[in-house]
Amino acid sequence: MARVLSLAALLALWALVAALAHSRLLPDPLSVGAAILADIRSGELPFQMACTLARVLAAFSVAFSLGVVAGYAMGRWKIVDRYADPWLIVLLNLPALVVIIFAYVWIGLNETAAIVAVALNKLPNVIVVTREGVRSLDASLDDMSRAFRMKWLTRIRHVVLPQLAPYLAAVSRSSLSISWKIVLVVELIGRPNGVGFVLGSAFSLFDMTKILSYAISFVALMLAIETLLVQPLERRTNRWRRRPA
Amino acid sequence: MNDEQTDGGAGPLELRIDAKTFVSADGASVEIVRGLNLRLEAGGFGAMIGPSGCGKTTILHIAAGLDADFAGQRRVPGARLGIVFQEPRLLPWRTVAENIRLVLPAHGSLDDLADLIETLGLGSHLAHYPGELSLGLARRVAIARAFAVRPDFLLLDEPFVSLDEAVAGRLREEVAVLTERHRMTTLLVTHDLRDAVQLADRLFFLSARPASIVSETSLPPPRRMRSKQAIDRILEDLSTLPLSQSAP
Repeated sequence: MARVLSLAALLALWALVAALAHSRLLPDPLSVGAAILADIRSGELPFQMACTLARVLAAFSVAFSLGVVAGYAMGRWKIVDRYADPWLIVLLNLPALVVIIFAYVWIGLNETAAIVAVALNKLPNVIVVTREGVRSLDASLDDMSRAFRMKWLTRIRHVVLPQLAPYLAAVSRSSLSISWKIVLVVELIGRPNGVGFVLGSAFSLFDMTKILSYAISFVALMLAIETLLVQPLERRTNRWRRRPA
Repeated sequence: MNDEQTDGGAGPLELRIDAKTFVSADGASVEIVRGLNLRLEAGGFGAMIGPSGCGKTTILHIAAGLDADFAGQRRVPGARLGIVFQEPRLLPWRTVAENIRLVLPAHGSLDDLADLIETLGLGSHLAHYPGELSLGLARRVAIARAFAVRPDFLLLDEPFVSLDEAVAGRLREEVAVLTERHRMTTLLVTHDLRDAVQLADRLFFLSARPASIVSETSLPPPRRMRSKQAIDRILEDLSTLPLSQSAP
């Protein structure tokens, strides 16, 4: 209820300011809503959003799977950490834009370059968080699983992953939200479709209605993924914790 | 540094630790065990008794094969090890039933363990998560898990500590019943002579750090259901041994 009220207040404030300003540069909520509906009906909005979402998911899967493996290795073995850590720091501090430019210049203006660029931007973050999680694994449970000769796969699934779950949940949240922002930049610079591309062309036309309608639609989509996918998954992995009274 | 061997069937437990040192946080090396020589016949129930902090748990970890960083030799009876750690060490995110099932061999099933679960009174708790159990119950689950693998070799690290006397007493009896029913070589680590006398047929008394065995003695069978009078009598006898004074 509080959420609905708070969102309604935000909408009301926007409507009020738009009415007062009465400018082409700040369209009111109704005309943005009408633009969204029109673009949904024409199929334009779903298509562009699908392009962007596919890039987000592809880049996220690459960054997540590589990052978890690398982070696990670095957290588990000191020697790996010692050698890989400088690379990690370089990658961590390379500006997103530089990575994007390198990818487009070296790989070409294509889908692979776009996804590599976004994945490379997210990768170090996944590694850092996973490594932290692995360092905090409970050694006594490790001893237990070794003493009972648990199989490798059983250990990963039942001993290690449940301990890493909060770290992985946190990093996938932040990865998803940041990588869609980076995807927009990638699309703006070098892709012929996707939300970023649309925003770029709308910007050159000063079409604020379009910019707002696409931005709001994508935020709504990510919100839906969060509430319908991420949160239920999190509740499931946390069901063993005693609920606060 | 050390050789490791396992006997296919029922060999004795032989543990020789010439030296075991730890490097403490400030870089100094601390000698935990020196010149320890322990032999326990197949199917026997040994108890190591020593003061707190003398290195009992370290010795147990070495016996379990969890710590290979020592000078000496280890020969264990059979391949299957069951272990009860000082804390229950259950997986908090798995139910009691899953905690037991996860250590079973691939084709094992909980249905074959109905007896064990019955003996330990866990029947009504199988669907619970460890966080919902009392310490006494969690200990029982840990004991059930150790017996569930049908071990050739069983290690118990102070399994009754910080339980109230009634619960500890009942649990001791259950362990006695179980070790008797499934013939296995068992090594118990404890600081409580009463634990040891009730359960074991061979006692090893440890010195303070660096630990070694200062004396060992056999108790007459039968060990199971040793009555209170019998335990008191044995304790009386032992108190005349000067070396057992270190154990409370």
